[in-house]
Amino acid sequence: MSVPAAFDYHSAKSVDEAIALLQQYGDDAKVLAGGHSLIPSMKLRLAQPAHLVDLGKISGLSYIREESGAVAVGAMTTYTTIEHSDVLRRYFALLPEGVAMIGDQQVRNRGTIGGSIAHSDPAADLPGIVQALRADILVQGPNGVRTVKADDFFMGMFETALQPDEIVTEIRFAIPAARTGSAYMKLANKASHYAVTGCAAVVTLDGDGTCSSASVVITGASEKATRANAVEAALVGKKLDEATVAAATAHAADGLALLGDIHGSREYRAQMSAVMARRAILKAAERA
Amino acid sequence: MAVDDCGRQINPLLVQGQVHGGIAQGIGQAMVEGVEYSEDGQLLTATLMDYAMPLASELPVFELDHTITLTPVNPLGVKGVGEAGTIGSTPAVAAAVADALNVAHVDMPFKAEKLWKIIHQQ
Repeated sequence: MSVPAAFDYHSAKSVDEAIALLQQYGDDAKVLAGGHSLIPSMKLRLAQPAHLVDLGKISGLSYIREESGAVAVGAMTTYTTIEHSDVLRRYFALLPEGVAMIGDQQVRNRGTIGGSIAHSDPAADLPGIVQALRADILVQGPNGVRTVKADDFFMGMFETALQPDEIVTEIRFAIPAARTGSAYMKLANKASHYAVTGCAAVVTLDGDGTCSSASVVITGASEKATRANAVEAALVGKKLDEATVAAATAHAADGLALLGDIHGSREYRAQMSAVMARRAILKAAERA
Repeated sequence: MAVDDCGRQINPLLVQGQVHGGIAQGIGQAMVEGVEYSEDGQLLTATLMDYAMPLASELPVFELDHTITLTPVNPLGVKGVGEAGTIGSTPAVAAAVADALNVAHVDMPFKAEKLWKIIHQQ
């Protein structure tokens, strides 16, 4: 099937109007941001919303602002804008690096950070990246704005902490401590360029090069981007040389409910998760 | 490096384009392209999100050369060049893979996981 089922299209002029439309249509409505995940699944009729609420005409949801110890990114900011942001490159290397690996240029010109995380595709890159950066996700609903920690936002495959009448409006990244480095590595599906497995890593080193904090998230390998607690614990307090990082990441996929499909068996995803984690952590340490 | 002989070249630029495209098509067949079905017959590679194609950005720069041997069977001495590049490129990749892994044969396509398994069985 290459044509979506019939639907009504609503172009919201403000976040409040979009929320009112979501309240009105409930489960029959889907939010349209960049549309590069939703429209393909509508064409395959995996999604058949009766109502589409388009956020594209709402002004003021696309921005990157440095303010009071954090960088705030509007939900409708495109991957291309993020890729070329000087302020994001300065503080969070893995974010521009990760979005540059998404799809192709046409997709990156349309796809948005808010859309990607609200969609929570298990093979998407951004859920792992925002978790690794311990971002705050600002969510607006009928009762105002609330903040959800990235670690609490992704509930499962295409499942988030969003209520049906809530919209992601902003993602906030705390400016990292000195000597913090980050990196994102993925093994891409050769067709879609989604992650067969990927690893987002953020490490902070102290004065003598010892790792004082580590944040490591594996994406693509299981039903949602998942923090690798055991890997993090094995890095903190150590010098991040090749042997230490290899030992810490050898079992990076342990505990994950691994996916297996034509793009990678469970066994392959497990091994490649370890490889991506090792490479991402070593690169992050090199940048710290 | 690819050397072809399509007889008399009426439009050399078009010949080069056809050879470029053919090389890419042949490498794609060898490396990534494959139709896959589930056990109950469901096509699993029904869209380009699952069926991989070679991209220009993944391919090297091609160096082309040619010989010109006119065919006696038509007045212009021309032979076909459509997809001619595939004839050499697919077996070239297959031979490279077999040589690198020191095995006699690997079924195409040479997806990363398949090669990984062969490497780790040895």
